[in-house]
Amino acid sequence: MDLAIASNNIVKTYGRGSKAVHALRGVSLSVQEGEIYGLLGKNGAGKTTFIKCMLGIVFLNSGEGSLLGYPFGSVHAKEQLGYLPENHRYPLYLTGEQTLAYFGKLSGIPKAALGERIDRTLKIVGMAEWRTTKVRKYSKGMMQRLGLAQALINDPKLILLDEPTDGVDPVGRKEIREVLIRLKNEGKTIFLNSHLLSEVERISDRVAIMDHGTIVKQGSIDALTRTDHVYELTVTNTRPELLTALGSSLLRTNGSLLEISCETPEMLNSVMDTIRASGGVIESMVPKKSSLEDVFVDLIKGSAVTHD
Amino acid sequence: MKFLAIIEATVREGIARKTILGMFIVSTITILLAIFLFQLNAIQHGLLSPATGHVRTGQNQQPMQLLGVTVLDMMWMGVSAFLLLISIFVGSFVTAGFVTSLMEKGTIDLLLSKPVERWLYIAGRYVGAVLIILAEVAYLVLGLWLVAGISLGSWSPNFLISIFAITLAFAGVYSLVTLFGVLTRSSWFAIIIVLALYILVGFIIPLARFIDRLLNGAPTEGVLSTIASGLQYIMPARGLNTLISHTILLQPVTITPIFITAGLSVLYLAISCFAFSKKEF
Ligand SMILES: Nc1ncnc2c1ncn2[C@@H]1O[C@H](COP(=O)(O)OP(=O)(O)OP(=O)(O)O)[C@@H](O)[C@H]1O
Ligand SMILES: [Mg+2]
Repeated sequence: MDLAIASNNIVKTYGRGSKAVHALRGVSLSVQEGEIYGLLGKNGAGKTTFIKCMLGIVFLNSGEGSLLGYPFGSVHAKEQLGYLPENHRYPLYLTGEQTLAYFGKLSGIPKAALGERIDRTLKIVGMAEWRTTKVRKYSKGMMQRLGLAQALINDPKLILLDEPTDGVDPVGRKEIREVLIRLKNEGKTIFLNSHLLSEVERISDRVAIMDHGTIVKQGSIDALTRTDHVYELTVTNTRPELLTALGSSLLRTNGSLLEISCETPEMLNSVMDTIRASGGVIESMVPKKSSLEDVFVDLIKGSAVTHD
Repeated sequence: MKFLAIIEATVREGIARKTILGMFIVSTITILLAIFLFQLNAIQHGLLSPATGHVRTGQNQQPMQLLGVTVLDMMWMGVSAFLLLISIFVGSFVTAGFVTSLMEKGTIDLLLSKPVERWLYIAGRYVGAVLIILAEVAYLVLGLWLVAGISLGSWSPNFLISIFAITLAFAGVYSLVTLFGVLTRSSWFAIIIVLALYILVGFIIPLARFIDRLLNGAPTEGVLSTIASGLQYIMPARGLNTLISHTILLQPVTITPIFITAGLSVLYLAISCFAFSKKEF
C-alpha cells in the first residue's frame, strides 16, 4: 500500500539564538493510505507544528517529507486533502453554506458541482439545519462541525485534523468519531492530533506519541498497550508465605489479584506451581494490557527529564 | 475562479465591515450638498458670470478668469484635488485591514491549506480593495459631475478623468500599504508608515528645501538631499493631480505619471506577494 504521509527527520526550530524553540527535533513517521493515525502528545509537544510543516504553513529547517506523493506544502497535495486547524475562524458575517461555498471555490470545485457538494458535506457533519444561519450565531461545537465540513468539502483523500472534537459535547464527539470511521471505510486516510487518549484509542489504527518534538513511540494501539511479560492472576486461598515465596516476580497484590512478571513461559509455569504448592487456587490468568493513557503517562514521564 | 472567489470575499468583507456603506453614505451626502450649493444664486452667479464658464471660442464673451483660468475650471481642479487626497487617505484607512485580517491566526491556517498559490491571496485582496475604491470614486465623481452639469448647464467631461486618475493614485498608495501590511502584519503600522512617508516627501522635504533656498540662496547638494529627491521617485501617485488639472484645463498632458504609478504599484505588489509567500504563520 502507498504511503499517504512520509516524513524523514523533520527539524523545525522557531526563532533563533537564545530564543529558539526546538519544536520538532527529527520527526520521522509514516502513515499508510486508508488508516486512521493518531498523533498524541501533551500541550506544546509539537503536534500542530508537524501539521503546519506538512502544509507549508511553516518551513522546515531540515528533513523532508511527502504528502500523497508530493513534497510537503505542494498545491497538488492540497487539492486532495482537507485540514481542520485548531482555533479555526471563519468570517462571522457568512452563513454556513456561504462559508463552504467560499472554501469550496478555493479548493477548485467547479461551480456546477458546488451546490451538491455543500449539501452532502453539511449532511455528513449534521449541520444541514444550520446552513443558512450566520456563523456569528454558531456554538463552539457547531463551529467544530463547520470546520470539519470545510475540511471535507473537496472530498479529500487525506484528512488532517487538529483536535477535531475540541469543544464538542459527548454526543457530538461520538458522532464525529462515527463520521471518521465512515470516512475511513470509504478509503480515506485520517491523521489526527489529540490529547484525548481514550478517543484516539477507540478509532485509531496506529498512533505515535510525541514529546518535546520527538516521536517517543510509534505503533499499533494493540502493540503499544500490550505490556510484555506481565500477567494478572486471580488467586484465592493465598497465604502470607506464598507472597514471600514469589519474591521479585510479584509486582503488586490487590486482594485476590496478583500481578506477576515472568520473562519466559517456563517462569510463569514455575510461579503457578509455587502458588498451587502453597495451597492457592488459581481462578483466572490474563496477560495484562495497559490503557493508552498508562503508556502515554509512563513514556512522557520517562522522557521529560532528558529535555527540560 | 479561485482569484475571483478571493476578490468576492474581499468585497463581502468590505460590505460586512460597513466600509463600503460608510463611504457610500458620505459620498451621497456630498452629492446632496453639491445639489444644494449649485442651487444658490450666488454660486451660480460666481461660477458662470460674466459669461458662461466654458465658452472659450467666443471672442466677445470671455469667461471670468483668475490667473488665466476660468472659475469653473478652478472649481473642478479644487474638487478633484480634494477628492484625490480624501480618497487616498480615507480609502487606505478603510481598506488597510483587508491585508492584515487575512493573516489572523485561525484564518490563515485554513487559507494556506487550500490548493491556492499564496500570492493569489494578496493579489486578490489588493484587487478587491481597488475595485471597491473605484466604485466609490466613480459614484462620487459621476454624481458631482451630473449635478454640476444639470444645475449649471455647463458640462466639463474632462473632469471625469478624475475617476481613473484617483483610482490609480489610490492603487499606488495602497500597494505600499499592502507591502507594509504584509511585513508588519499590522494595518495601523502600515498606514502610519505610509502616511509618514508621504508627509515626508510631500511636505517636510519641500519645506526644508524651501528654507534651505531662503537661507543659502541656492539648494545645497548633499547625501540627504539626494536621498530626499530620490525618495519622491519611488513614491507612487506622484504627478497624477497635475495630470487631472492639465486635462481639465485642456493643456498638454504627459502620461509618464500613469506609467510610473502603475509600474511602482506592480513592483510593490510583487514584493508584497513575495514577502507573503516566504512568511511563516
Ligand atoms: N509561531 C511560533 N513561534 C514560536 N514558537 C512557536 C510557534 N508556534 C509554536 N511554537 C512553540 O513550538 C512548540 C510546539 O508547539 P505546537 O503548537 O506544535 O504544540 P502542540 O503539540 O500542537 O500543542 P497543543 O496540544 O497545545 O496544541 C511549543 O513550545 C510552542 O510554544
Ligand atoms: Mg496544537
